Amino acid sequence: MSGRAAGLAFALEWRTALRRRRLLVLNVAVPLLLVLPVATAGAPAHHAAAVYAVLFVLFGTFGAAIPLLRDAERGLVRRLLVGGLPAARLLLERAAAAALVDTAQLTPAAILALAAAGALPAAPLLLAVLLATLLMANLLGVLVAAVARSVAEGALFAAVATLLLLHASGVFRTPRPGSLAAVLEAAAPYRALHETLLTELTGGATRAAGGAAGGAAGVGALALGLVAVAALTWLASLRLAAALARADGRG
Amino acid sequence: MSGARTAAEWPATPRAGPHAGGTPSAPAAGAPGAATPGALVWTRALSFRYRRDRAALGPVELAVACGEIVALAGPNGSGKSTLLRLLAGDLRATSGTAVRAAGTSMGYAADEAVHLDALDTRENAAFFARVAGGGAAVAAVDRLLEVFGLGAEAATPAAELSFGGRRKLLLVEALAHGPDLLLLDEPTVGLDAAAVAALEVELRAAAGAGGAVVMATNDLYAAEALATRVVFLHEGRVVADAPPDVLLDCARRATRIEVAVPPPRPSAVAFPPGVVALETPDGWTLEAAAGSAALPEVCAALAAAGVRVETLRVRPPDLADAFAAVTGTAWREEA
Repeated sequence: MSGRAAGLAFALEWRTALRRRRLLVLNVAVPLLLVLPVATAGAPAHHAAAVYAVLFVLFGTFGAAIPLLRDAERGLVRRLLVGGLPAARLLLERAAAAALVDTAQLTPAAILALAAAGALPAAPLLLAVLLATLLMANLLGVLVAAVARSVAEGALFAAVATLLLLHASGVFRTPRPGSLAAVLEAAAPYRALHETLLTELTGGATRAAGGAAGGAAGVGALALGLVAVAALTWLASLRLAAALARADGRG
Repeated sequence: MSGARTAAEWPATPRAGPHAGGTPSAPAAGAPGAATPGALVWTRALSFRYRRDRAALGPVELAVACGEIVALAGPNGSGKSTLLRLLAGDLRATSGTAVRAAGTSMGYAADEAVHLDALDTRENAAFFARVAGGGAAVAAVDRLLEVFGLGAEAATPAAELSFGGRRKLLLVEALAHGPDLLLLDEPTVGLDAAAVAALEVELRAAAGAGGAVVMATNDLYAAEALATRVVFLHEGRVVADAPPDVLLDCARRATRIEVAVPPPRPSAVAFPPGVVALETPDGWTLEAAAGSAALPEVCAALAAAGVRVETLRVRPPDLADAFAAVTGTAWREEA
């Protein structure tokens, strides 16, 4: 990787996010508006935790995949790569920067969710898990963008991959102990976020019932997922330039 | 029509010149990708096909050395942009190779002016300069923005620039890091006269400093004025590769008389001896060795054939005539 281009894609992502002020405001306001009715309706904790987990993860994955695919469609990705930016650097730095931006944008919604459940002291823990989860979600998003051939295809891949991983993470239903689903859940990357949300929204009841061990396993699974998806993204980046170079051009 | 010229009457390549012929003045091609001494970029049997096997280019043999400004000229679809993209690494060759000499830095301006729309003009130029050349490259950005008339718009978001402004910014981004090799696709498109003049100065300076420039262009005036070598592409193949003067020799330096007539064009006109006619969409381009002295006889021939003339223009030969001489195809028919 070229050392002279280090950090450029990361800085560009941040600068772009800060310049698009309308989008910045919308990305803070919309999650707040989606969390507000759930947080104030007295929904059961497991329902609320599932809703929040889905919202946060989809926010990260789609927020990474769709803009990258749009940039690719209008020729910007091609320009950056031909201009000398290594593909792996573009993808990995973009995912890392977007994860930080997403965390900042989702923080008000996450705080609201905790405040409504009287679990505000857990905010640092939740935000740390949220940041790691969003890194995973953004890496998955850029991975999807690197292999998809259109925005529509990217949206489909992102939705399918995310929902399957959320399901495997036990967000939609609790697997029967000892079942294959339970084994899968132990290694699923979004389990940490779901477990943390569930624990804090139930006032620590889950933790008291052995949730701490589950939480540690969730963090381990998330770390494993991060490494796996980062490696896949790096592999995808090796093929990204070639895929662009094969694309039709004009004579 | 009489006296119409066919491609068979002309040599397939120019007669002389340091790069005469479709093959550059380089050692015979050895192993694929073998280095060409003194060249910054070269190709060996370079070919490209679009999907569905639509042939686009090749095979092409080309080498560009330090100090050269090479114009790739040809009508739309001739393959000049494809060749440029292959040289830039923006497309992958179907077969053959395009190689840049080790350590050669490259500035590339594609045909589409794609920028970082959330950033302003100066930030765009600085970003691409950093990507290509590191932090030191940013120093040239302000000078180039002034040179191309973008100084007053340095803080304007790139998305708000005019078409010409976006094209100028593309050139600034390609030039800012002082690359050894400049690859420019239609660099004069969208530029005002002052910017074209500035571009000529910058490109000559780049070549004079030991760099090389390859530009794909339909602007034959710019090619003739600026290029040290013109490569004609026709239907995906190099049909001529020589300095502009040599190509003009190929057009026999005979005066051209352009005759435009309203449709339908008469099927036969007996032009006088010494006048060779090439059909164009509007009428004919006549090559008259006797120059404007042939005008009375030409007019008489047209009158005798009952042709109503819309316009008649006498001009010296140019590269479009050279292209027509080489290919037997009028430049404007496809350009």
